Amino acid sequence: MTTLVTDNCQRCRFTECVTACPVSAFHAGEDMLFINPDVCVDCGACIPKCPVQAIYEDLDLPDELEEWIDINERRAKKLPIITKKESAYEGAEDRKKTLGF
Amino acid sequence: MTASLKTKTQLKVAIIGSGPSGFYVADAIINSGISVEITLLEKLPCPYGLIRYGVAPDHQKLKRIANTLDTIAEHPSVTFLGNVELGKNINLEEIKSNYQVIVFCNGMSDSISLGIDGEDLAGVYPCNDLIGWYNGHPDYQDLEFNFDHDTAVVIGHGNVAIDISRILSKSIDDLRASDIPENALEILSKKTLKHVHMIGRRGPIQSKFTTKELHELGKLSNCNVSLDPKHLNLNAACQQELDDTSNIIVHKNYKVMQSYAGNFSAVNDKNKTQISIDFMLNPKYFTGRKQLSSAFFEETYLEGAPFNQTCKSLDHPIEIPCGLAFTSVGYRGAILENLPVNEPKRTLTNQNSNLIGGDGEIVKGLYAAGWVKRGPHGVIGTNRECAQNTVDSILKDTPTLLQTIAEGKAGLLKILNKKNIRYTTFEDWKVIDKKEVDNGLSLGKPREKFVTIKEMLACL
Repeated sequence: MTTLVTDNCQRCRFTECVTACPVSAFHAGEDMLFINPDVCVDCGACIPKCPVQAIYEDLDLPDELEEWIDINERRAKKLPIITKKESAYEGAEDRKKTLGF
Repeated sequence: MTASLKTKTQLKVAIIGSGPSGFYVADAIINSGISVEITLLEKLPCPYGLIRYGVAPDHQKLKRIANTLDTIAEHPSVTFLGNVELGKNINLEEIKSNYQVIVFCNGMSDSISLGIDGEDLAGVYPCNDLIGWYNGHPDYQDLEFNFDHDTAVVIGHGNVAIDISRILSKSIDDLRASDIPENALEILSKKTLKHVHMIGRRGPIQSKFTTKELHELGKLSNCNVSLDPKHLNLNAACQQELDDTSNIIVHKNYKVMQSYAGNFSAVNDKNKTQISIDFMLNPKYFTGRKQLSSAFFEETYLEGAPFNQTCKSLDHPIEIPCGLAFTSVGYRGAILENLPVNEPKRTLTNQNSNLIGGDGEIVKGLYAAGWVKRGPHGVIGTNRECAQNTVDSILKDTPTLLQTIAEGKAGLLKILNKKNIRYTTFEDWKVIDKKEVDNGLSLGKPREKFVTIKEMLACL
């Protein structure tokens, strides 16, 4: 069981998710956020927070997004922890619309 | 900094309750960077609240949140004092006289009753009784349970109902790997349940499950989970609720429910426990001679606009013969020190987390966070956000609050010592914790909990 961020986060980075994480498992990359699977307890609090539904549990992860399990594990650990909400990227609202939300 | 200057610039904060909300309030204050001294007061000798006593005993990964709470407790600005109960061995005035800020994070520990006939029969319990008992909570150890029945009904469609249904259905060998204490395991090992009904008044779209918990039920090797496919034929309003893109959890749950609907007409494997998820049934009354023998329901239907549908009863009584019933329809808070509450949930009356007194005015220095502020909703992480909002309010008031001088922990300890109260520190908890983990080792369990306060204090 694992919880992960996928590519919908790229160029949005609304960061609503980090405020609900009870264990500070989110790490901030320049392009998007990642979840450290060693820290995450799979509580699911972040999933409904994401305005572009970028966060999945592996139990309902679409096949085409499976590569993101490894990407989260690899990248999260090299990046700083993020616990406070930051401003979304410029154009995030437009991208949200493009993504259908 | 001299002692007197420190007294004038350092905010003294007492937090009532050391569940996740209490810890997250402490964390948010520390992270704000202000000079602060925080005392976490807890009525039990041990910390963590619902992480230890509410999170299901077979969800050990979720209980790892305690590791995060530990790092907060060990911050030099934070002192944990256990076995100190507001309204019992200390009163609000005694705390107020030593702290500029008091934050109520004491949660909600009472189950809401259904208010129907027969709830007093043997075999009918509020969910809290069972959860407190199998989690080893000292307040629930005198309860007696008998699981030698064919059928149990669990009333409620949230994660608490799922937890109870799962514990009732799981094989005893699987339960032995959890941290259910030995005394409870012994009684659970005699369970003969063949059928567990999880019953909700409304439909699949209105259920409050999270997907992981719902999905987990279907993975239990000794269980068959099913629901009547007719409930997945939605009325127009429910269909709109399902199609709303912000309703992601409902959408995911619906998919899991579709797979359970496929099990509905499958031939039952007699060796498996049947878990039925029943919708649109309103509990009416329980019957039995001293001991519960049947639960009666009325069929319901939904009426109204999407997201605002109300539940109406049809005149179709349904009987489910059962020997056990657990009601999981929500929680409410306790009345504490005459603080004004909002009925029926008994949240503390507040404005932006600031408590409101009986005169309708803001009470300076008193705040709330967690369930007792916003009601019994959300998952553990929700409390982190909630705590941050409370701390934002505190920080706004801090310059004013600092105009009052407060002694903080030193002053409170004087009172506790004078009253001869055996409080526990975080170091004490670590001793208890280690003993529990050691005792669990030989049993192949994550820990063997001490289930009485006396036992906890005895190992110190």
